[in-house]
Amino acid sequence: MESVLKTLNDTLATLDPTKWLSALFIFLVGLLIARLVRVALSKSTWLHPQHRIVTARFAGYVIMTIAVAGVLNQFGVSISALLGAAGILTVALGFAAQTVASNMLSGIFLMGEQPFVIGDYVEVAGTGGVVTSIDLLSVRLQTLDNILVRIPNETMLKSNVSNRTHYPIRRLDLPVEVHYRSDLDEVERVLMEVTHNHPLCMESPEPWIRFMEFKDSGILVQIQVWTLTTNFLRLRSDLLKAVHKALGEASIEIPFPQRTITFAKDENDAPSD
Amino acid sequence: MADWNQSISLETGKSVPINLGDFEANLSKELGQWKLTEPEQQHRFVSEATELFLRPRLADRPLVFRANEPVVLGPGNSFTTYVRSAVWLTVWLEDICYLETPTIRPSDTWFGPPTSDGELCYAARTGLRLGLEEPNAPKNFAVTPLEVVNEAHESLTIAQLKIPAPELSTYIDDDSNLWTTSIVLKAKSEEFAEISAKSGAPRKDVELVSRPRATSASGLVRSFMSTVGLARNQ
Repeated sequence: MESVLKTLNDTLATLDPTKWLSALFIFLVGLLIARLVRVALSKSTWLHPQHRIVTARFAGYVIMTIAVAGVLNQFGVSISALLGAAGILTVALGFAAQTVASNMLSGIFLMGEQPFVIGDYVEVAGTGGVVTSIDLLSVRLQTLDNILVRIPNETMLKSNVSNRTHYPIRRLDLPVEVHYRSDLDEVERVLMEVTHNHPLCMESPEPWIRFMEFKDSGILVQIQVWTLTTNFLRLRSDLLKAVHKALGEASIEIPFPQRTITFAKDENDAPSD
Repeated sequence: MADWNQSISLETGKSVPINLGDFEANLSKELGQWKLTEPEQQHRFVSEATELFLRPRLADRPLVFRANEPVVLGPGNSFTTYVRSAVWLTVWLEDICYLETPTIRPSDTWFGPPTSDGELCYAARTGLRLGLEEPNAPKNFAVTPLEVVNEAHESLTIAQLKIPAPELSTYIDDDSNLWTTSIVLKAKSEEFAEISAKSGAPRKDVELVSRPRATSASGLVRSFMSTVGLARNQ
């Protein structure tokens, strides 16, 4: 490394202006080509959208490395000496940058596997958000309350990732309890009518009403409907309102927890040990 | 009373009711603008145009008609039926479309398996009924003449049927009834079928009011049952 610096120092002292100009020309041409290639790759249609940014950056770095090598060559710096120095440097950096290397490898695997793409809503390690970028080192999520979360690729690869928007349609489950006195056939009819009357509830796959369990206060009914993934939150809110209204209009009671407390009149009524 | 494809001219401050089948609204003219008032929403169109047109357009997704009961079609047999689908209302001022809104919002439905392989469609409000009589459709419904031919060697059970509504033209007859391009669906085997639109108007006494939203590169001819739209009972 010292010899390279010494060579560079000596060369700079004795360099003629034409070599300066040549070096500058090579650098500017490299810069221009790198920029053009980056723009072309980032707008290319044959590359997957989430690969464009990384590929464009990588190509830009390679071209600029070649340009810088060309500049150094003008100053008489031997590329082989540089490469030798770079080799030693790489080994040293390798030990220090294991995490970076791990994240980069994980990033490459993620790009190949594509469990999610930019724009998907994912949940990972307790955090949910829309994927805004997938880079070599990390994935960036924008949470629903507009917070940027950066998750290292290694974490993404090791953790369970739930992609909420991978499929175009989703099933919405809405549990509701009805009173034990309710006519269950009438409950089924009313709830089915609610699902048929809402245009965002898909008719196929068909809505599904099932009585699930005897609970403390009433009978648990499960409403299952399918909807477009993009309509999921809106439908959940709409359906809850519509179910509440329809049950109320049909005089079907939604029970709330109740406890019957009996007070002992005298000692004889009190429970014995 | 405003009707399909007729010039509507109003003086400022005047209004006219719109009653197109199940779709009811009120159209009024104010200073420098038109106003369409639906029961639950209102639309304003800023334009100096003196006349306005209401034109129908077919749905922006395919429509799925479910048979009330599965229909079994023997080999070599065919039937013709008429299916009705609710149209979208479009408002035109000086040849510019200012609004497009469904006269009835059909329910969403999914045609195919619940993964990315299926297709988002609308569920038609009316089922698939067999019968040769031409239906007396409300004014906000268009009628599609449909012929199904079973050219396969096996019988065909039809549970539901998908109509490529965005690829069909809309026509109007002298009585303001709406019609669409006629469709022929030929089942070639258990797996293959082709759907094609008959060229020209479905009847003699009709006039074209809306061109298709989309045109199929293959001239509406497709193969594979799943893309054509026949589906057996699950």
